[in-house]
Amino acid sequence: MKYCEPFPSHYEICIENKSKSDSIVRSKLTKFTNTSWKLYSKRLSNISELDFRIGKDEFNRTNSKIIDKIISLANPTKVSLSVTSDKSLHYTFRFNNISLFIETYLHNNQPHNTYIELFDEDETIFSGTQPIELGLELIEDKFPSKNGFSSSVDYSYSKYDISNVNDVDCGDDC
Amino acid sequence: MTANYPLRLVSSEKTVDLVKSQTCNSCKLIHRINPEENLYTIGREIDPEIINFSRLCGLSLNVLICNNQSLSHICFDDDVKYSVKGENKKELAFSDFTTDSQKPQIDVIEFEYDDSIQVIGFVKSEIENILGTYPFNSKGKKGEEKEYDFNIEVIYKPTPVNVLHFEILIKGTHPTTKNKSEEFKEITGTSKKKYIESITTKIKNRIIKNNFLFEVKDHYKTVG
Repeated sequence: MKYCEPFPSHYEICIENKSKSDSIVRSKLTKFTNTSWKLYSKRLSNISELDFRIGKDEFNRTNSKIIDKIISLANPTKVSLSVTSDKSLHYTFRFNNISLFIETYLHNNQPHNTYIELFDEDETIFSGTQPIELGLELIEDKFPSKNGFSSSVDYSYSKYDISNVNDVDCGDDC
Repeated sequence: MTANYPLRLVSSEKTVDLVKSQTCNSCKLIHRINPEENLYTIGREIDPEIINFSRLCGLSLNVLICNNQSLSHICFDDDVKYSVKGENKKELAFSDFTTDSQKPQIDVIEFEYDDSIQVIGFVKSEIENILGTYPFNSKGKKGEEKEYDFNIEVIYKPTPVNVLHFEILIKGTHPTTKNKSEEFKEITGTSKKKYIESITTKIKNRIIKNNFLFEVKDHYKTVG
């Protein structure tokens, strides 16, 4: 006879809570980065419609991959995404003393270049250029949570002011 | 009544020498940004757009000399809100000041003052402490690419109408067609894309990480 536990174990509750929490973080980060894209991508459309389209394709292709990787590392205490008229998508993630920067320069006729830097305060713990998928794998190996950095950061959405995101004027794109 | 351009900003050989000797690593350097630009993103980090390559390379700055120096009284937060206009603009605002013979008559300087201009600043030593190597290394690729060094220099560049004017130079050691040596030389927009991207990214990341740009809020206003 198969034994079924009448109540979920602590482990199961923990896993379920972690999964719920990840799902909330994912949803908030997705909303926040989409709003940032809408707000700052005008810098690309001011250059040309082609540059905007190339940027949009790259954002759509990589944003959820970046968010998934970030969630698997730790909950960020601060997040920022900018689109620059250098034609780049620039992400900043803060995890207490850890800072992670991911910048992709968009190119029309050649592969885009992605540069990743990971700092523990002033010490560079990872720095490299590679396709973004590979870069995200590489930072996972170097990320301090693997070496004792707490992933249970006191995380509050108010820290990146997501409550005000809906008030941001992003024109017709919103 | 028509106001004159501020005499204190007009260069003379004597003042140029004083600015040179009284500028130290702790002095603040200020820069103008357009009223519609924001220093911070909605994520409350410095917006890397403010420090993109075309802006950073040759960036015009004014010094706010430290308070313990006699010349501090001639420096104001809104000095960068003045723009020289008219047909003499090139000669007055863009040429290097070298002798007193370039001193213009104060009442013939055409200018405008735009109070809506925003002012940002940083401490001189903080930007000059940014240095590193380029290009980024690419793990997994065959043959490691040679790495070079870059640094940032803030140079004094007085013009006839701005004795407090400085400029940022980004320098790197990669050989160029004109200079094959590996000495530091100015990096321009014609350098390899990969070099420019690597250096710009590293500068942006360090400025954002240390959050050392700040908004200057008209503490010492001369107009209005």
